[in-house]
Amino acid sequence: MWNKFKNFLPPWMGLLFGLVLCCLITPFFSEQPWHVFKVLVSSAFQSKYDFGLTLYYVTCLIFTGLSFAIPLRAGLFHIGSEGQLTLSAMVAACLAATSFFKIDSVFMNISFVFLITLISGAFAALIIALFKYFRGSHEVVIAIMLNFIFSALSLWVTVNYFQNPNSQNPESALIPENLQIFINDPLKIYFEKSPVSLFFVFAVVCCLILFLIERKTTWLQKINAYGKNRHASRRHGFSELQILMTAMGLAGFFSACAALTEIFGNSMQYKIGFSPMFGFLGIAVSLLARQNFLGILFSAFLMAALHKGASDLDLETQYLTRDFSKVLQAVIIFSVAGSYYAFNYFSKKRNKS
Amino acid sequence: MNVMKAINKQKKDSFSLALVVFIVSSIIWSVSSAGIKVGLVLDKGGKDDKSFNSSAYEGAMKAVKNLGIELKYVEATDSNSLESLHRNFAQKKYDLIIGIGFAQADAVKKVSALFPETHFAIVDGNVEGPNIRTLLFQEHEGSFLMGAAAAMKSKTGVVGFIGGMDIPLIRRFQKGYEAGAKHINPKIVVLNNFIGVTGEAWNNPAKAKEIALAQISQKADVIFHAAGASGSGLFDAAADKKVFAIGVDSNQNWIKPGTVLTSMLKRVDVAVYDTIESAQNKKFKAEKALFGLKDQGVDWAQDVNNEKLWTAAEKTKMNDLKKSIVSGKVTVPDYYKTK
Repeated sequence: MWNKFKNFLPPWMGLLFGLVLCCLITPFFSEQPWHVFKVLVSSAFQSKYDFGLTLYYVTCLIFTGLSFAIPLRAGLFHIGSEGQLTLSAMVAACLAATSFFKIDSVFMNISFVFLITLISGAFAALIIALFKYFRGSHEVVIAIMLNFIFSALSLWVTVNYFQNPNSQNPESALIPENLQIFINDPLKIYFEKSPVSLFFVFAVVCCLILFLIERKTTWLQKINAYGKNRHASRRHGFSELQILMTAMGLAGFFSACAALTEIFGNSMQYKIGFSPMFGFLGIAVSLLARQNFLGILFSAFLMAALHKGASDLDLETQYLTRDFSKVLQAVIIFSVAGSYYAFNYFSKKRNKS
Repeated sequence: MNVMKAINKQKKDSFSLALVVFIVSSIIWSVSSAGIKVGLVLDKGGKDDKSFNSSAYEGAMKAVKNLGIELKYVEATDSNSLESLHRNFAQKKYDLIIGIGFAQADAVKKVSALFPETHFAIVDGNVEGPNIRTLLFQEHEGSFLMGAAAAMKSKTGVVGFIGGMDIPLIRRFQKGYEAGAKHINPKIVVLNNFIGVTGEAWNNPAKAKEIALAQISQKADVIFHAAGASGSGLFDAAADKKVFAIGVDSNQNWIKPGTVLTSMLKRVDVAVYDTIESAQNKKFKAEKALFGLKDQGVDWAQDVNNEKLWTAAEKTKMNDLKKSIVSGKVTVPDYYKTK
C-alpha cells in the first residue's frame, strides 16, 4: 500500500512545500503571506470566466505537454513545439479566413482545414526527425532554428497577404462566421464565453487514449525501447526512421492541436504572439508528470493555475509585479520537480537503516 | 431562567457589536472613498518603456497626488490576459478602467458591454460604446511640425524618418512628417524606414541604430523617430555622426543634449489625467476625445537642453506654423482619411 502511495505523494508534497516557500518569501516584499497564498490558489476559480480561461490554458498545455512527452520516450528532447504551433496556427487561420476550399458543406470545409493544419504541424516536426536520421544533427539545434524560421515565415505570410484590414495589430482576418462552429459550443456558454472550448474535452480524451494505448497495447513500446537503448533496438531490427517519424509526427500533430484550440476555439483569427510560450511551458508540464500521460492532465492544470495566478498577483497585491510572480512560479515548479529526488533520498536512507 | 437571560444578553451584545462594526466600517468606507478607484491596464511594454506606457503611468500618478484617487496598475502578461484583467477590475467595482494602446481595443469592447455601470477609457484604440471614452491624438499635426523643423535645420536637403512597427498609426506620423518637410522646402528628400512588423519593433535599438547609420550615409542630417524604446539607437548614431535627431511621445531632449533637436510630445499623461479628473468630478463623457496642437495634447518640446539649437527667428517661424495649423490655414494630410 505504502509503495503504491509513495509514487503519488512526492509531487503533492512538493506543491505544498513550494506554496509555503512562496509565502515565506513574500514578507520580505511587504506583502501578507496568507493573502498571496489565497490569490495563487484561488485565482483560477474566482469566477466561471476565470475558470474557463484556466481551462483554455490547460488545453494548450496538455497538447504541448504531449508533444514533448512522446519524443522524449524515443530519447529526443523536443523543444520545437512552439514553432510548429505558430506555423500551424497561421495555416489554419489563413485557410479558414480566405475560405480556401470552395466547398458549400461546412463540415467538409472544416475537416479539410483541420486536416491540412494537422498535416502541416506534423510535417514541420518531421523535418527534425529527417535531419536527425540522415544528417545525425542534434534535434535541439534543429528545433531552435526551425522555431525561428517558422515564426518569421508565419509573420511574413500573415502581414503581407492575410492582414486584417480593420486592425492595427499584426493579425489575420477573422474566419467567416459559418466556420466559427466552436463559438457557441456548450462548454463556452457554460463558462460565460471564456476562451475555453470543446477542444478541452478532446485534449482529455487524447490523454486517456494514449494512456490506454500504453497500458494495453505494444504500439508505443518500440518507441520506448528505442529511447532506452538505441543500439540494442537497432540490432533487433527496428526501423530507426520509422520510430523517429512516428514520434515526431505525433509531436507535430499535438502541437497543431494546440494551434487549432487557439484559432477555432478562442480568437477565430491568428494573432501574432498569441502564445505565452505554450511550447516551452509544455516541457515543464511533461517533465513534472514524468511523461505519464495521465499525469500530464494534472501537471497541465497546475501550470495553468499558476500562469493565471501569476497575472492576478500583479492585480491583487501592492508590491508584487508581473516579473516577480514569474519567480514565484519558478519556486513552485522547482520544488515539485525536486520532490522526487528528495523522496528518493529519504527512502534510500530508510532502506539502509 | 438564568440560561435564557444569558442567551438574551449575548444576543444583545452581539447585536450592539455588529452595530458598532457597521458604523465604524461605514465611516472608514466614506473616508476612503474620497477618491474614485482607477484601474490602469498597461501594455506588454510595461511602465518603464520611457515612452508611451511611462507617460500614461505618470499621468495616473499625478492624479493620485492631486486628486487623491486610488490607483492600481497592471502589466499584461499575454494578449489573452488583457480581457481578464479588464474584467477583474470591473468585477472589483473600479469606477474607471483605462487601457493603454490599440492592442486593447477588443478587450475593452467586450468587457465594457458586460459592465455598463463602469467607465472605460482607451488610448489610441477607436472603440464606440455608451461608457467608453476613446482618447485619440492628432499625431499627424505634431509630426508635420517636426517635418518643418527638420527641413529648417537640414543643410543637405535630405531628412530621415524611422518608424517602429509598420502600422497605420505610424504611417500617419510618416505622412505628416513628409508633408511638413515639403511645406518648408518642396525639393527636400525624405528617407523612410520601418524597423519591423511586430511589437518587437518598439524595443529594438540595435536595428534603429543600423537604419539611422544607413540614412546618414545617404546624407540625411536630421532624423525623426516614432519607434518607442528603439529610439535610443537613433540618438546614439546621431551623436556619433554629429547630426540631429528628433524624439517622440515624451520629452526626450535630455537624453542627448545638443543632438536631440526637439521632441514631438504626445501627452498621453494629460489625456489620462483629464479623463480621471472628469470621472472624479462626475463629468465623465462617453465620447471620442481628440487631442491636438490646439489643446497641447500634441506639441513640440522646448527646454534648457535644446535652447541653444534654435535661433529666435526659427522659433517664431515654428510657432507661426503651429498657429496656422490650429487655425486651419495650413492643412495637414491625415493618413487615416486619405488612405
